[in-house]
Amino acid sequence: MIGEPLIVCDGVEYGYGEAQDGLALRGVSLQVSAGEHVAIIGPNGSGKSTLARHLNGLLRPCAGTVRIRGMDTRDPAHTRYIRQTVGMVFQHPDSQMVATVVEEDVAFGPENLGVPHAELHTRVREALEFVEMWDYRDRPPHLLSAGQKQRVAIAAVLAMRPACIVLDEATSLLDPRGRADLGRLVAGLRRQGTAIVSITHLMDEAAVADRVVVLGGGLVVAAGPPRDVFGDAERLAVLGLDLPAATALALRVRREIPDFPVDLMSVDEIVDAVAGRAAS
Amino acid sequence: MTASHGVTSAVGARAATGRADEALIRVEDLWHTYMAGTPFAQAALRGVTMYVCPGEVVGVIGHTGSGKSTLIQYLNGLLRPSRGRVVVAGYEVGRSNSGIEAVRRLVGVAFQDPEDQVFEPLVGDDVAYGPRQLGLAVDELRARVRWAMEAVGLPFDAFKDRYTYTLSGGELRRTALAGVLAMRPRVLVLDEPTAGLDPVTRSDVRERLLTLCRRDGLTLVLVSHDMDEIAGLADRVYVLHAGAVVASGPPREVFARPDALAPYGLLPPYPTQVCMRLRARGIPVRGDALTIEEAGAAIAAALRATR
Amino acid sequence: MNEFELLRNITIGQYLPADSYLHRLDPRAKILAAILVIAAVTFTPSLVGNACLLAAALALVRVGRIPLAYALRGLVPAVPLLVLLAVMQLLFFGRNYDPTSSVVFQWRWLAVTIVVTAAVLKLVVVSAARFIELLLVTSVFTLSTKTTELTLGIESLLRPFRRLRVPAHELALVVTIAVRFVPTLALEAERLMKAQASRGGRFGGGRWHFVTRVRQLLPILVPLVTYALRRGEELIVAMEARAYTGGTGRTAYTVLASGPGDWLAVCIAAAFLAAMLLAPFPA
Repeated sequence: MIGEPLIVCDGVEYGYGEAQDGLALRGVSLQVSAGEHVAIIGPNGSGKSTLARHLNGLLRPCAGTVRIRGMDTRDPAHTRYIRQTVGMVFQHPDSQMVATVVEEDVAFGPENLGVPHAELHTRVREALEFVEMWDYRDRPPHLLSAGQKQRVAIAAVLAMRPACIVLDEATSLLDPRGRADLGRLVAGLRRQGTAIVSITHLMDEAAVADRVVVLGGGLVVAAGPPRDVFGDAERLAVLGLDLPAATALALRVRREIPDFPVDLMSVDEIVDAVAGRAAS
Repeated sequence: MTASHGVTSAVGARAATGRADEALIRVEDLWHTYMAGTPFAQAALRGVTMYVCPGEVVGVIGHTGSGKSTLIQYLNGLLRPSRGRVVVAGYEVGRSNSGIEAVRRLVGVAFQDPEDQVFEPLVGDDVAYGPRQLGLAVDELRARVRWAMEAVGLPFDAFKDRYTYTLSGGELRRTALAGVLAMRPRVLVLDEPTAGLDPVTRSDVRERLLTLCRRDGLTLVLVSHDMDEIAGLADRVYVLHAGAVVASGPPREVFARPDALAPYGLLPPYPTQVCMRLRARGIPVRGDALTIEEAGAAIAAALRATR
Repeated sequence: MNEFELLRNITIGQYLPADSYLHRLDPRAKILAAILVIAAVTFTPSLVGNACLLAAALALVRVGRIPLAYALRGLVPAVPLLVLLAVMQLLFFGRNYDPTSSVVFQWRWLAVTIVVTAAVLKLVVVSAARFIELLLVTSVFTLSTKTTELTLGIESLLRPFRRLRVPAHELALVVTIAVRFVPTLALEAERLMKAQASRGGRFGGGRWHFVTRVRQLLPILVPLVTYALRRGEELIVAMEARAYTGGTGRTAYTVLASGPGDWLAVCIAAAFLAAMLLAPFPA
């Protein structure tokens, strides 16, 4: 499922405004392959959102390059193609909807791409059915819950048929049900082969990714499969990051049972590990 | 403060926990409908009854749309009951405006989005907004602002002249909290006080809230969908669903009851989930563990016992 | 109703789903017809004429299958403005407005003289009637028209003027986004007022204290504008992220189609305007 690199960031540097002393990104290199799920974590101000906005050319690096399927984001000729290839869902549910009803909003992206009228309808319908919001197609956005708005935002990106979707703290203003819904959608997208880059504060969300990238002070300070990254609890604590609840619980058990495994990522894994040992 | 009564707190050794007859806030059979009398009418509360006692931490949990946000607005008289009663420190909130300002002074509300609450350009001015409305003398005003800012972890001298638009998410949230605290309320109502914060900031804010409770005798009403937060802080919880209270009691009891959360699509705190699942698999751990510490100790004990 | 929900109770701009002739009309026809009816209101100065117009407006409410009470509710927020308008006219027009008219009422105090003539009284009644007619007609229009239909209608009607460099698509997009954000901003204003009231800000007070109300809106204005700008900035980024680069090369999701029934509505409205203009109403 995981193929050749879709996104290649190479030594990306970026600073806001005149202040060159405080660069938001100080040489970040990162690859995302087709169909891969990468979680980017880091404390507030570590440069996560700045990096996210480089992935589809909303921001362009001051130094270094970002290539999407080999195309440099600094070349304006590629902008439309890059935006179609890498879609973005943002944090605030209220500032992503352009239109006054759901279906028109989902159509906005493909309309911009010049998709023919007949195909627009199939795309909008497929996208809204995927996020289970087809029944809400004629609702105005202010009558939707935050979770529903975020689902519509995902549909709006899906209708552009992207190869990768970047979720920039898309769940941080949602309640647990909204988060769970979005988590299920992300799992479904991965089954379809869409790559996901999720920027998040929630370690349990990062724990389900193929790879976790930890940013700190504009640099990549750790990267690897969740089990490896979260296995190094002390390092995460230094960076001001939590552990996934399962890992924290496993570590607590290990204080008394020294050979208890700590590379556990979910409720199921904990329950299986404990039950397995109790039986043996 | 009143003498301690009844059940002792689940977490920590806090004193008094709720008895209805000494309540500071009492809500009785409260109903609310948005846009009543129009085709868009929508019921938000259907007969809610609850109370909050001095010095308590009361948690309110429920999904978006369960009526939580509507309920909060009744606690400080932003909404006036048209069906049901709301009594705050002996004063019955009604249509009349006399006394409503006293209610709002007594019960401070920090809403979910700090962006809505911080409206002055400078942090110090924003925190001073409330006390200034009270017409305090300059010295007193300054002292209050300093106290409120320090209480939420914003050093007064470093932050009072900072522009609010340059603040990080966590600093903005602290500013909003300080703005409410500066009114010196007896009850602090917090809607999702730590949502969207990074883990370190989150636990710092929680620690500071508990300190305010224990040291300054502040009463807290905590509205949250973070069960671990509620489990760690609250003495009693109310579970709200579709505008009605469907369960209430100490978190340890409510979270361990299978009928209190699951039917409404709510999940208990993570450690409780693990322990309940283990019990279902026949492993003898306690089912009411609320924290990682408790659950970890219980699992370790169970594993040692099987050796 | 409560003291903070004033903005969300405004009925103008809220679509009310129903199955009526007006709801089914092609938005282009409806826009043209509405313009003609509004012209009729504007050019009819007589009392009898306005009585006819008021009746016509109420008839439209009925044809649109809108509950009368609901349509009238939309007038409530406008009442203070109406009263203010009437008071201003009564106080300041005096004899200067049509000196030939007979004096109905006169009051003198020191150097101040207030004179009310029959012509001024008639003016007060006609202005109030016009105001109510306009509100009813626009309410019926917005209650029976989805905003997407409205913007598509505007875009379609403006398309012939593109040669004259009228940016039809951009105008339609501006209207759409404005309409899209009205409820969002109204709710935000409500949240801001509640947050300020919770911190000792004084809000509420009687419903009739128009001046107090306006004064109370001032402190939330700055944060509201800040909020709108921030959301607007985010919206621009979100639009860019969805490959928006302007009107060229775009396709359209919804395409309008009109039939003879739609043009009949325009004809009826035109005939109505002509009748109002030509009818020999007593001055």
